[in-house]
Amino acid sequence: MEAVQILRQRARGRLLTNIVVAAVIAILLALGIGSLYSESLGYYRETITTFMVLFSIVLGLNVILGYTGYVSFGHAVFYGIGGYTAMVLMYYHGVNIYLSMLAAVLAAMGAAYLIGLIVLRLRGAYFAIATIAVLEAFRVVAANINYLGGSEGLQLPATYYRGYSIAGYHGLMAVHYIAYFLLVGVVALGLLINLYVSRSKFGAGLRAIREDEDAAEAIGVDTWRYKTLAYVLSSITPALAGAIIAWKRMIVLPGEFFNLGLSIEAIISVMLGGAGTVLGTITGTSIYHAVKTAFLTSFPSLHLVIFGATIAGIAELLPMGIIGWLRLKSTRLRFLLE
Amino acid sequence: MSVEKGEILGLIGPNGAGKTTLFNVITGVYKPDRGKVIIFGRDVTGWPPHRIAMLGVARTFQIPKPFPDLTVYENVLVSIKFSNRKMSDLEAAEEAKRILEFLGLDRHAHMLAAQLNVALEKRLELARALARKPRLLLLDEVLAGLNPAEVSYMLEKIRLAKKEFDLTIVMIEHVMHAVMEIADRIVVLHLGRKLAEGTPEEIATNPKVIEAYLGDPKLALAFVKRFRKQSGG
Repeated sequence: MEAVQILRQRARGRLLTNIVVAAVIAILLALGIGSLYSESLGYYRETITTFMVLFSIVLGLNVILGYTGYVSFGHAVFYGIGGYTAMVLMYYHGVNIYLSMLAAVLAAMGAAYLIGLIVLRLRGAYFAIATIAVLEAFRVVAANINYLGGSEGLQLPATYYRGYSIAGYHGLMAVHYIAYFLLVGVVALGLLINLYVSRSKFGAGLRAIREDEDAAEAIGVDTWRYKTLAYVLSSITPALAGAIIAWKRMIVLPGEFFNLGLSIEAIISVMLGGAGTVLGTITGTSIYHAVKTAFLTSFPSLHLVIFGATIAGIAELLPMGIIGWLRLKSTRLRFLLE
Repeated sequence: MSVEKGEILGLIGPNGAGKTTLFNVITGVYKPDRGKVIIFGRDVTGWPPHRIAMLGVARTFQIPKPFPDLTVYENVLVSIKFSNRKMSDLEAAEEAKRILEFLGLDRHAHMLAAQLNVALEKRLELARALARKPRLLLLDEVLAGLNPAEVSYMLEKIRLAKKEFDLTIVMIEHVMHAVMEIADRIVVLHLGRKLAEGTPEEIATNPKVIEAYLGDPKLALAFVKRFRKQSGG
């Protein structure tokens, strides 16, 4: 293939991804707007909200895990930091959700930088375990500090929600709809971040780090700076999702917000779809969420079995994930599927 | 020790002599306990590897370290992207193709690097290093594991690359006839110290070197004479 052909194929692939991403955001928006005016779509609003929360964490995780190859098992820590930061501002100072979200993401990015100073010195399994330790540390701290509500957490009174309204809904009723649209925004942001990483020199450097960190240094990649930046970027959308959910559910609890299970679900979704691809995040999260919801309603006590079976299945049959597997099938698909 | 601009310096010695360690010190992977590293007139002691690479230094690894889940083309392209040149996407793609063609890797351009055999892996190592348009090229046993035909091929490519890119090369090698043939000067390391330094003839006839490493003095000298004659003195 000539150079010009290569670039043409790549452009075609990017166009496809752009279309898919735009379609996903459009569908999410349409469902949201529809649910504002239609009673029956209300059920879908809730399940899609849950989907978008997982998707936000997945989109963050994909940057550090998928592109950089660092398996952040404790990634839910940023969801928790986002939730708690927002809740503290809302509970003690009555700050509105929008400013709280801003504070949440700044706190998470700062935490990612500081945590990274320690954990990014480690590689492979050591890094993974260290992130779990960090997650647990935050959970224990949150559960034992009164200012953060201790083991009972912090809960917002219904009066806090008086000022919010959307399309004719007010107060607590409005919150569910506003939260939905805020999450669409977060998902859009996450997709844009992933698209940027996928197409930039920065992303090429991250992939090099993933493939062989020493060789990456040898060709001139500033691995420390790139890893740190990736880790900080990966904290953004989980933190925003945490803030929104803290607001929507009116409560933060240490076990729920610093939740290892949430991390694991995100890892499964990333791996199932195809780590380090944009289409993979969409595919993996959708399939995982759909299967989980279906199983939860039919076999409520079996969902842990699903976790285990899925991980084992992916590791054995499809370590590259669905999109990753497709990309191996032919050169054309490799260029087409981003 | 020092390397002159434009020369090919052979670095030889028994296993464990410290040759790769020396490369690691030069490229910033290890920090020296004593002494300095000066490259292109700058004291780079203590610099991180990527910064030294940015000065125009490229290295290959003794055991090839390709980017396994990237294609051969993508391997070279990444290297070009970080070679600190302003290039459009098209220029970078064309440059990648050119380097692949130069090393006969174009047929395998869209194969995963993990699927390459040893000979092709070595060529990819060289391709990735050359893609950076370096001024100084450090080759670590780039001929190891190759059959005679492949060795000749690589030597030819190294010669061509040196001329085209105006390179200075330091080569760690155990394939004695290759080093004797291509090097302008040779440094011999033994137990972490410089044992001898000189032209290939001088090294081949140096009794200390023969005792520590070469074994048969007549054979080493024969290599030098044979190839000097072949290439016309």
